[in-house]
Amino acid sequence: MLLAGPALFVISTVRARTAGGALGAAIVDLEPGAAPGRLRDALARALGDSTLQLAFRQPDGMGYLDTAGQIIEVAQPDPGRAVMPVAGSDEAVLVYDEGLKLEPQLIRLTAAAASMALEHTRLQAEVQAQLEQVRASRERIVEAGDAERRRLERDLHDGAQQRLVTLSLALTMARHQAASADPELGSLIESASKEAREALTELRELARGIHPAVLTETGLTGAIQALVERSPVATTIIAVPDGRFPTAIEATAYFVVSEALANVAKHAMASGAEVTIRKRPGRLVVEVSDDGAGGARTEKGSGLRGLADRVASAGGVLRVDSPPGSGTRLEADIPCP
Amino acid sequence: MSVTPDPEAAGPAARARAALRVVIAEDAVLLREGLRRVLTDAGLEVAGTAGDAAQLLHLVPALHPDVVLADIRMPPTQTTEGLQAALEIRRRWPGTAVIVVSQHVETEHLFELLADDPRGIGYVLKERVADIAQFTDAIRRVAAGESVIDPEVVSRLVTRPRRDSPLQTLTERELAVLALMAEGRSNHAIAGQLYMSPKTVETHIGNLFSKLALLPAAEDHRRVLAVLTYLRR
Repeated sequence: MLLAGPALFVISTVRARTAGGALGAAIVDLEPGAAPGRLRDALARALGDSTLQLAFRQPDGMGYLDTAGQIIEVAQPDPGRAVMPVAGSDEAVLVYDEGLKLEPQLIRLTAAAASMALEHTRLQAEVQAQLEQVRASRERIVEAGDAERRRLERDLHDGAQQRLVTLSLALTMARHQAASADPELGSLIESASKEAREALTELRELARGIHPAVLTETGLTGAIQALVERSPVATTIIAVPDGRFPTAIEATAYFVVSEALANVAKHAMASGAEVTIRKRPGRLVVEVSDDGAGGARTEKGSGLRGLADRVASAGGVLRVDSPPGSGTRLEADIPCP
Repeated sequence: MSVTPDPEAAGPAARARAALRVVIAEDAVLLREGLRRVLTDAGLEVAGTAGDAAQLLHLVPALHPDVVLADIRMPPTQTTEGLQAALEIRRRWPGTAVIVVSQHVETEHLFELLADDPRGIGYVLKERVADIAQFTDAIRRVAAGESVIDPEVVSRLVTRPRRDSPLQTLTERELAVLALMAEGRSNHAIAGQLYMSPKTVETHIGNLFSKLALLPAAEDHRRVLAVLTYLRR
C-alpha cells in the first residue's frame, strides 16, 4: 500500500527527531544477527512506511533481491518509488515511498541505521566464521597430534621393542653356548641380557605413555581399567559405558582420566579416587573425584589448564570444583553423537 | 608358512612318545626363527610357523599342534589379530592349548581370553621368550591344561592400592599364595615355589578364601578366574 502523498506533508522536524529515536530503539531491540526481514520490519515501523523494501545485491552482481525474495529494479525504480544506498556501498539499498523524499534527513537516518545494523550482523558473522575456523583448526591440530602419537607407539612396538625382544632371545642363545666353555663370557652376556630386559621395560612404559595400545584396541573400558590398575591412589571405577566412540572423543576422555589421576597422585594427598564416565544424549560426561586436599587451580601453566584446552578442542567444557579441604571433583562434558 | 610331518600319521604310540608339538604365529621373521631354534633346542617340536592369523588358522587343523604360540599383534591391522585367532582356535578346535604373547599385558585382553574356559590358556609378556626355561615351562603347563598368567599383570593387580578391602587383612604368606593362584599355579607348584607342604598351602588357601568371602573352587581353572576377578574389581 502506498502512503498518500499529502499525508507526508504533516511530518515535521519534530517527527523526524521522534522517528530518529524510534530508529535507534528499533536497532537496539533487534537481537544480534537478526534476519534482514526483521531489520526491514523495524525500519518500516520506525519510518512509518509499510512499503519500505530492503534489498541486497545478489552474489553474482546481477540485480537486487528484497527481503521477501522479490527482484528489485534499482537502476529504474517503479513509479512513485525512490532508492537510497545503505551507507555508501551498493551492497544494500532501501527502496521507499517517493513522498518521503521531502524528509531527506529521515531517509539518511534510516539508511545509516540500516547500515549500522547490517555491519553489525556482518561483523558478527565474520567473527563467528573465524571462531569456527579456529575451533576446527584446533580440533585438527589435536587430532593430528593423536595420530602422531599412535604412529610413534606403533613404530616403537614394531621397531625398537621387537628388535629388543629378538636381541634378548639371541643373547639367551649366546649365553647357553658360552656358559659351559667360558663362564666369564657367560656372565658378561647375562648382564647384557639384563640390560636389554630393563630397556624393554622402560620402552614399554614410554610407549604406553605416548599412546596406550589398549585404547585403540578395546576402547574406553579396557583403557580406563588399565589406568585405574596403575593408579598409585586407590581408585574405583563407578561406571564406564561399553561400546566404541569416535577416536578423538575416546582419546580426550582417556587423557582427562589419565591427567586427573596423575594430579590426584601428585598433589591431592587423597586416600581414594573415583572415575565415572556416562553417556548422556549428545555428550559424554567424564568425572574424576578424590577425597584429598582440594584447592586445585586451573591457571595458566598448570596441568589442568592444558586439560581444559584439550577438552575445549573437542568442543567440550572442563569444570573443576576444588574447595580447599574438601577434595577435588573434575568434570569434562564432551559433545558426543 | 612352514610345516613338518604330522606324527599322528605314524600312529598313537609314536605321538605319545613324541615331543610337544608347537605352532608359532609371529610376523617378525627374526624373532620367529629365533623362537623356532630355542624351542627346538629345548626339546619341543616346532611343527609349523605362520606370519599372520589367517595362515595360523590354516595350520591348526592341518597339523593338530598341542600348543599354539600367537603374537597378539599381527598383520593386517596390527591390533589384536592373535587374540581373535586364539579365541577362534579354542572354539573350533577345543583342546588346543594357546599362549598369546603381547608387549603390553592388559587385563581387558586377559579376561576376553579367559572368559570361556581358562584351561590350557596362557597370556604372557613377549619378553618372557628370552627366559627359555620359564617360557618352555609355560608351554608345558598350558599343554597340561593349566592357565598361565604373566606374573607382571598379577603383581600389578595384587599390589594396587585399595581402601577398605579384605585383601588388606591377608598375611604376607596368604598374599604370596593368592598371587601364585592368580598366575594359574597348582597347589603342588605353589608348595614347591614357596617351600611349604601341600597341606600348609591348602590351609592358607582355606583361610584366604574365607577372608575374601570367596567360594572355594575345586578345580584350578575356576579358581584362577575367581581370584583374578576379585583382584581386578
